[in-house]
Amino acid sequence: MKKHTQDIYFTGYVTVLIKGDRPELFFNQLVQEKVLVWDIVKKDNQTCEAKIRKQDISKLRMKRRGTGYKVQFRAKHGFPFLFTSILHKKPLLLGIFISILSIFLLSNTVWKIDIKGVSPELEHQIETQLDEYGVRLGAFKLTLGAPVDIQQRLLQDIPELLWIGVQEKGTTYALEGVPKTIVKEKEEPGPRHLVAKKKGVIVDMFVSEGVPQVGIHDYVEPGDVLVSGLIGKEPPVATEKEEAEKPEDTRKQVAATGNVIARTWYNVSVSVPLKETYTVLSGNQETKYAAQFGENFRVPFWGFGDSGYKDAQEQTSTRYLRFLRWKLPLGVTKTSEYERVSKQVKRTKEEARAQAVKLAKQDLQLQIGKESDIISQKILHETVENGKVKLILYFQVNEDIATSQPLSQGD
Amino acid sequence: MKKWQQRIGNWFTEHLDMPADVVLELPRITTIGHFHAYIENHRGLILFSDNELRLRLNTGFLLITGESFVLKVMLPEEILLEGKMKEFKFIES
Repeated sequence: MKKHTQDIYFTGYVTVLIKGDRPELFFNQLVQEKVLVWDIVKKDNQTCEAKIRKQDISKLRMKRRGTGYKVQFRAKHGFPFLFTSILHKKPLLLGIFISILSIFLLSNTVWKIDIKGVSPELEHQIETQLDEYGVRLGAFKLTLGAPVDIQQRLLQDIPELLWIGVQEKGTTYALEGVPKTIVKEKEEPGPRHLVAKKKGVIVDMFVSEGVPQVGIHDYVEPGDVLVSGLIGKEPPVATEKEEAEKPEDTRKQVAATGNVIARTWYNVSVSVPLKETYTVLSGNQETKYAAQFGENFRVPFWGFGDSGYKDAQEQTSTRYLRFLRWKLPLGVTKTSEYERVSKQVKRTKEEARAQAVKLAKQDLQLQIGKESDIISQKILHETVENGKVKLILYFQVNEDIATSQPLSQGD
Repeated sequence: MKKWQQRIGNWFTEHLDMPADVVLELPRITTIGHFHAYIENHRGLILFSDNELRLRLNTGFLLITGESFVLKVMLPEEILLEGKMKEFKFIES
């Protein structure tokens, strides 16, 4: 029985007052029309009060026609009426709207930027750089790039950073940086020799500690001792007789330090094609914005039409709106198209050769490090094969060939 | 014809233990104490007021008297009456 009235609050119901001669008989007719009537009370001889559902009001009106009964609506109950009554209270509605809007705005605002793991100076630098990108306290997050982009730009713009992690935690940006120059306490090197790591002819030596074992213009092989870490007179070679009373090694052990610059040689082979096609970004780009609904559906609202690029590289990033701590299935998608142009280069043999030499030099410099100098170069061999110029080059390089080798303790 | 039906119905209820209200289309009245009365299988409301309820039955009328009556639920053939009941009276027509 109660079943009928349980969900009635959600559909809404009204209290009606029926006036007329023997009003209860009117309900008899209503009930025949499958109208649900409850809580019928007789007020006096001429009036009856009852409750009916909201959707039955029209049936009640139809039934009433021509009967002479009078119907008065007294009270409205239930959610639909509550809803409409709220709708009529403009200030309340406005207040609700404003509060939701402000929560929404605040949820999409940057409230905190947390930078960890870097020195104060670097932190300041990161902050100013972030400010330049628009990432600052109070910024609206939708307009900012994705964390990955910020990370890449930071790494590009601040050379002191080895790595930086950018994480978006709700309204906070958490950055964790690793500076490139980690000032490590220098370990006091133990007693050691300096030995050659590759063969070459010594051109210059600078020894701050230890005994040089080689001179300028000496040819050394890998493993040769360049600077000895043992200072003092070498004990005489023990004869068999003296074996028992072998004199003690009185030499002082030090950590040999210094630079030994030697001329070394490299053979490098390179090949450069005479004809080459490669693609580059022309620098033309077009950016489009679209409203994102859910995962797959988007409606463009800024930047329509085809970009007209024959070949393009596309980059899309989607930012979702947030409400408190939830990500809404609603956001903005930014699509950038970069025009790609393929370029063809034709080289003469001379140009190709020059290019090859340049390439080989660059390669070699990378291999031997910044401190080393390339002294001279010579083309040993040159062939043109399958549209490619192939060179074998000979380089003379001045570089530091010293590497440390600890003195063995046992001896 | 109607009498004949009733005789068969009577036989059913007596010999086969069928519920009388179903077989004979008689009203079934359930009361809980004196404050709830649930009447099924009535044939229409004739009179309702604060202290009286009159219903048409197949074979006459049912008169309930009492105080502060409220019809809690009203359906075509069912009525749930709430109030303080004093008297149930069957009137043969």
